[in-house]
Amino acid sequence: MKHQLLDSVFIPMLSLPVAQAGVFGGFDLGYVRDSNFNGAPDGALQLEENITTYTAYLGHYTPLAGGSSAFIIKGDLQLNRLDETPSLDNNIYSVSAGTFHAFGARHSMTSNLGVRAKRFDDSRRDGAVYALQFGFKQKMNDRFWFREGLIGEYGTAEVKSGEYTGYGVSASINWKPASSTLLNFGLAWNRRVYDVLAADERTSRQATLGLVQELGEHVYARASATRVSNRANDDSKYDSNVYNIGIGLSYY
Amino acid sequence: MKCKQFIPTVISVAVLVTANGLSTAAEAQDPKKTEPMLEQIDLREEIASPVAGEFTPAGNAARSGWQQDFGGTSGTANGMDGFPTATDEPSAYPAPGSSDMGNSPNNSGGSSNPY
Repeated sequence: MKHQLLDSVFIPMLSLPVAQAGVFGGFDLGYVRDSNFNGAPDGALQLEENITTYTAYLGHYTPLAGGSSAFIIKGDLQLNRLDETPSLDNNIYSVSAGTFHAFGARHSMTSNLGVRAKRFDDSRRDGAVYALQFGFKQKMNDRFWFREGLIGEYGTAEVKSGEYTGYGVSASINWKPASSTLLNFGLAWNRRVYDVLAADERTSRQATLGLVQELGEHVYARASATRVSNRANDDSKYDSNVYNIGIGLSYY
Repeated sequence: MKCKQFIPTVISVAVLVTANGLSTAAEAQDPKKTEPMLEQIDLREEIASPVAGEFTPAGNAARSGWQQDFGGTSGTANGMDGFPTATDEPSAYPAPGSSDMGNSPNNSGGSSNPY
């Protein structure tokens, strides 16, 4: 019965003519395990948290420059549901606009401006982040490429001490051992400066190993493991491991 | 408050100008010069495919190393703040440094990717 329902809803959607005209979107179901959700330093009691994520997104790209560029708009809705601390369940609403530009067969660039609003049951925790991002890609061939990213962000919050400005860089190596499989390794660094008296500069370093596997034309599975290392300028620090798996339906 | 309004406005203008510039440049280009590129660039793949697309959740989760945003209020899930947790105990990291309620309810690292 469920399969019949899925077939009746999704198959017509996937064959809509609009999908040929630059519309893309999908659903993603994820499960995350964070080994140190409470950010405990070494020796302190760490809280392991499991988070189920439900994400839906819808976007549209408009080709420009004879097909070498595009203007992209996108909206996302992400529901995060926590096992150990359900009072921190939250919904994230995002919209963004950006561009893609290919300088040739090998080099391309993306730019993106987005705002992401986060909403909790307790509105004192609410906040929004504005971010400007640039991505650079060097495609050595169809199965191997490098990617670098820059981000500048400004976070607003209900409480003054939660507001910040931030910036960061990232880089990754991407390899497709098969046409439907992607393996990658990425590094990221970012810093946020808060308007607080102590520990106002907080720096995060991350290393991620990831896998995306297409299962047919419209279904994919993904998995990743991230080592996170956070430091502040008052010498406080904590580390964490974040494991992430998911399955998704996409049309594009 | 001024800063809140000013920064998003400046960023918005910058992106719109960039997009407009790309569009204008596109119109000025000789179509003959773009033909070889057309054969090689698959916008659909580059932008929206789960494996290689720059604007998809799958890429956000796995591609570039940025942590996803899970929106918690302590630890890695929300990034380095001391806001009280669900158990009413402050996050262990860092020691709350300000007077109002602990600290920020903000997230960690954003996504790699295009919001």
